[in-house]
Amino acid sequence: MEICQSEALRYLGYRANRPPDTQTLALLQETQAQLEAVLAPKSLYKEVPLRRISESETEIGGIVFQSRKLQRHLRDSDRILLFAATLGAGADRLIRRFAAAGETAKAAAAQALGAAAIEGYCDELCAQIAEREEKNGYYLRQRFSPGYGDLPLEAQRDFFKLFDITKRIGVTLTDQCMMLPTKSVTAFVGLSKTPSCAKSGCETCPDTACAYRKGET
Amino acid sequence: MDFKAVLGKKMLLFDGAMGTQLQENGLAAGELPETWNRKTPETVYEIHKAYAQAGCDILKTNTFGANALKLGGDVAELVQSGVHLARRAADEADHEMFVALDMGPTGKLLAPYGDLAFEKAYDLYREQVLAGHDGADLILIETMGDLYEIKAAVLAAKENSDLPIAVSMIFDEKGKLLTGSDVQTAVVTLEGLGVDLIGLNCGLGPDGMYPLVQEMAQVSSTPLFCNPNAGLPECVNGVTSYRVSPTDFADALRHIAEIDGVWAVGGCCGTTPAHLEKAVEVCKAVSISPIKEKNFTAISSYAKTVTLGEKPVIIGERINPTGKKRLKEALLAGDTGYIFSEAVSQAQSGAQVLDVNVGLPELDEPTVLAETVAALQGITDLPLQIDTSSGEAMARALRTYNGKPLINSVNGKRESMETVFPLAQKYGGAIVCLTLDEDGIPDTAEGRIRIAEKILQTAQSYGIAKKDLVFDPLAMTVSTGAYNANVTLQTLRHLRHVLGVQTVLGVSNVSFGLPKRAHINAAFFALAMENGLSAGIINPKSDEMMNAYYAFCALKGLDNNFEAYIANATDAAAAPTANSAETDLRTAVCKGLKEAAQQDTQKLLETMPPLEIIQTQLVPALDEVGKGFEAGTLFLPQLLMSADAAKAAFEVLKSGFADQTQTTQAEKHKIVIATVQGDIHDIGKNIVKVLLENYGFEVIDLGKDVPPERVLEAAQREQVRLVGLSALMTTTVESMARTIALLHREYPACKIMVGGAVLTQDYADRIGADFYSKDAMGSVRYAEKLFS
Repeated sequence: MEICQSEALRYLGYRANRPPDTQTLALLQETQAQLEAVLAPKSLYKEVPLRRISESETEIGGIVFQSRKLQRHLRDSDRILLFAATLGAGADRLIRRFAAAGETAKAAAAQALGAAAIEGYCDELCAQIAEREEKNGYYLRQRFSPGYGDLPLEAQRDFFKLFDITKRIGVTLTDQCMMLPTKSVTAFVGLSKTPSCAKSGCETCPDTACAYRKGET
Repeated sequence: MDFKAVLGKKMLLFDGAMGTQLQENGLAAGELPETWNRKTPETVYEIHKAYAQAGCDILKTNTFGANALKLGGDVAELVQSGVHLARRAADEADHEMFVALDMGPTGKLLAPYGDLAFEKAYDLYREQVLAGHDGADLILIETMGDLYEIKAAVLAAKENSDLPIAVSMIFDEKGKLLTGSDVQTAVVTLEGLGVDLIGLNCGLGPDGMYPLVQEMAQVSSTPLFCNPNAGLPECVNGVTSYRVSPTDFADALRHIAEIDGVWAVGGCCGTTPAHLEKAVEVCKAVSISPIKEKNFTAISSYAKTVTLGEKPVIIGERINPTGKKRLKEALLAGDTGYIFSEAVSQAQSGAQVLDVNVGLPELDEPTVLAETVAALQGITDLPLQIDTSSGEAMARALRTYNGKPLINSVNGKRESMETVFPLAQKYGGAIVCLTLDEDGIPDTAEGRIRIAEKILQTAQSYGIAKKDLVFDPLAMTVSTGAYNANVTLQTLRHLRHVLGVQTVLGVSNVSFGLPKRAHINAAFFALAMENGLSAGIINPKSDEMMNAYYAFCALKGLDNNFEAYIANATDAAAAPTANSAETDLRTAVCKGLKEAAQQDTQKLLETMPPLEIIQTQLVPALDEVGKGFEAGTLFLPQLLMSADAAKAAFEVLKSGFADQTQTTQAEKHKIVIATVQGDIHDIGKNIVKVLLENYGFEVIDLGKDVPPERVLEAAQREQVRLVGLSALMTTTVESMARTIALLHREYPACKIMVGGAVLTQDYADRIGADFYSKDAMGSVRYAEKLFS
């Protein structure tokens, strides 16, 4: 797994026009080595039946999810995958240890590197799936996670019912539907017979004031 | 017949899968299998019956996920009906069969990493045990991925029933549990808890499990069992399937059954009555071998094992307030940050185990010890040595400890043994045994050895193995008796080489009253290791002690290629170069050079009073960096590296204060901070905390996932004028709003500042915050303004 350092720098507040100083780079490098030593990435995906019920209701794997955005996201898809990935508990432990030992800078760096790592890991996995599926004439849509748009975070509870995520890759949900280990992702991934030309990632997000929005300076 | 009477007499066969069988029968996605005990009990019964007819010996009840978290309610009803259905099939079978009350994971992650408290997990399992033990022959805790959750389940089983306990875990192909522990650590911890069978299930097929069972057999003194899947799950046309055929499954399972120490086998996901029928055919006849006792002494954390007896082990002694003013102050103030930094720095210096002692007359030791042990396990994976003379404190700490600890200590007094041995027997642990008794510490080696023998005998009457006793021959001050060290060494030699037990010693006592104590300590440490010391309780931050240690290991052939010796020697050589950079304190802090900042502060203290150092060096440096950050010329990592360096410098000053018995420190302004309820992201809050502390505020950090009531309670108790709240997610901003409303209503005198990734000024206004901080410096500036 490759960790994209420029992505981590973005999370730490750097923008393309402001390169980091050598000391920050050294901090990132040292932290990255420590982080990589504790990563135990695991992933899982599963295809389930997909059925449109109405403009705002989609039945996925036998469970109905309420969301117009999800429905629209899947409009060209006739197949769907449930996708889950995690970096494992080690990353959380490391961040916690840094914070506890008065190494706040490293804690923040590990946090940013971990966020970049899980995104990169998911992209890598999805690229592998896409390569396989293209042979079947299918194209992967962007990942769509519980909590995106009008799909409430509580949809995680149903998502977890569809799938042995906890048993097989060790991701659990808190009472408030947050995932532990924190560096984890769950998502619906649509499969379509036509290639996607839709916008993706930050461009699709309505929060234009977000500090982490890509492409802003 | 009793299950225990049959266990070990012949190879026993568990049944196969229940869940995948129910899916075949129409269990819908998301539907809980246990509900079928009520909905269509006949289907569940028929599956049991098919396994009985296949010739299996043990039926697993359909109660895997029957806990209150997953089911909501109805636990008792569904567990009882589950046991009843299996019992019926077992009793109707044409051969003797047993029923295993099946309990799986709760599905939640336990604290400190997750949001399920250990005792809450215990309660969930307790409910299942109480409902299901009647009618069952054993309790099977299976598919477990977290040792801590296993401990909760095992204690619930032990304390609420008399049934034998089997525990099986789900390992990945690298031989790790999902929470990170390896095979040996799992075995060591489970043997500490005293379970009857240890095993693996799920996750892998029989081929994948074979090497892991072998690994387990090498370290386990407990019989083993193994219930693999019918291969790895594969997704075919949207359906999860397991593709190992009954014949192949049975053949592979037979290989596992033939491993020494395996007493039972069976199946998990994807296996069917057909798989088990074949398995019975080929495995039933496999003869089983008696269990060979493995004679190594081991302790563990949730992640790793430390064994005593090969290379001497370093136990860090620093978390003990005796004679340490700064630690005492930290304990009294509830300053876990300082205790954490002591733990991390000892680990970095080479400690493999950490002693934890919080015995202060002013403290409620049972509570503080249990909390400290739990908190330390949140930040270190080193095994801990639980050090207390209070039986109650020991009991509580042992109950919540995750792993198998060192227990410090028992001695030859009857009362001590009667207190400590039952606790060790119940919770597990290797016990430090002090060679003293009602008559005090014998002057002679013979006297101490006699006590050791008495302790050894008594321990055995409690069922505690010799390998779990670690004897301390007691180091007496050499300045009060020239022969004292010799007596200790002589006792040590006898204990290790004649009595054949592991040994431990608090090394530093020997030098009390002498100048340059480290010289004496290091020489004595080397002598003790040469005379059979298995573990030394020392200060790993003392170069002289660690030099003696690395040199000893190098000389005794205990250091492969001198790797550790060379690494230590190179570290020591590298240290001065950081120093030679010749920075002044202000520059060191601005540049975020932590070590330089500490050294410069130390140097400055020789010529400058602490207050002047703060005013002329630290405050200007922090100000410069803070302004740079606000102007956008410096970024968060730089701000934080400076903050960490400044904090380290303050810590040096604080140690100086603590040494000079409380100088007049100005009363600090207090601020309560918390990450709101439901939110587990605390990095932002931690950043704000460090910055506020550096700017001279006293921060009361309530942690993450904090309910509104606790924020209010802390704010009122501490009479603070400012509370800081952080939330990262849109969903948890609502609980921020609730917290603000409660504070405004009940404690209007207090101002509230808020921050977090999803917040905006507009949003902060709407939820009634007094101040929105767009970044970490913003909170410092607001606090300065408020308290000016």
